[in-house]
Amino acid sequence: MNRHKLLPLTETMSYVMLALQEPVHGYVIMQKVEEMSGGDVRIAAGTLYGAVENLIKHELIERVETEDARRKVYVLTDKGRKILHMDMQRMQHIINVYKGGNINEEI
Amino acid sequence: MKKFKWFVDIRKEEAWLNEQLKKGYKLVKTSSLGYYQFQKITDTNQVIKLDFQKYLTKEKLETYIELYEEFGWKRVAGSRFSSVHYWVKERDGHDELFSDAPSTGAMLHRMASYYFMMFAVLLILIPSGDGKLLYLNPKAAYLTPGLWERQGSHFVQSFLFETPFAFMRFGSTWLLIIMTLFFAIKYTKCKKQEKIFAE
Repeated sequence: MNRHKLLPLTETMSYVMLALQEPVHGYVIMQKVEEMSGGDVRIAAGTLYGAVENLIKHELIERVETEDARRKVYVLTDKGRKILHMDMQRMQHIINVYKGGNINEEI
Repeated sequence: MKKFKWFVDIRKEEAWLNEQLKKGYKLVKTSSLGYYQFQKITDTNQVIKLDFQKYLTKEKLETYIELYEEFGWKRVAGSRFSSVHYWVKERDGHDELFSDAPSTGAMLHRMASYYFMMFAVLLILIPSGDGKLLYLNPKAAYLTPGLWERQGSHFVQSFLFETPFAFMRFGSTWLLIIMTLFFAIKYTKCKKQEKIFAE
């Protein structure tokens, strides 16, 4: 299988993509990530800017036009959803192996 | 308040600017030649961070500034054409620009490639004739024929007359060499730090 360049996703990337399952803008992404991670991950401005740029470059997220023209709102693309799902399966597999399950199971 | 200072390391520059902030001097302007202009402030509970971005298009710069501002950062210096951006924020415990190792490493990588480019350009610019460096020796920068054979006031007069020109000739060669070394050191330092974050 030809893996996507960004796989495995970093913790920051995973959370940013999870936050972008619905359209939101910069600061809200950070707040959602903080909430989802139980306060463990607080993304800084430069890290988020880099992540967003990177995800746009790979067409995993896209900008959505909203009434508020000042704020740039982003959302996952279909390709992004696919990659996120693939990474979920990858992690699931590792967890199965860790728990001593069948390594040959379909992933 | 105005100050002139040169830094080899962006982190030392950042530390120095934070020291000034603590003393109540907030950066308002910089130039690439090491010129810093400060403004007196009373609120010393602020933090300054230096970010390094490759050339940003107008649109990207807009997105960049907008996102940082949402996080409470105010851009105090830096232009679209300079690569270093200076950000100030009220200190609140979340005072970093980068929160994970890959993005910190990526910033060091951006810096390293910029310094390498500067180094390469300067290396090409160092003037040389026949593969030899021109005017490396101050004496060689005096072009008056037979100058060094002259005696007395005749020598002093010609010598003094040509000194400013000679100084420009060997001075510029030496300045270029020093600058080239300067960027080579910056590049090496960046690469070293980048390695730490690539682990």
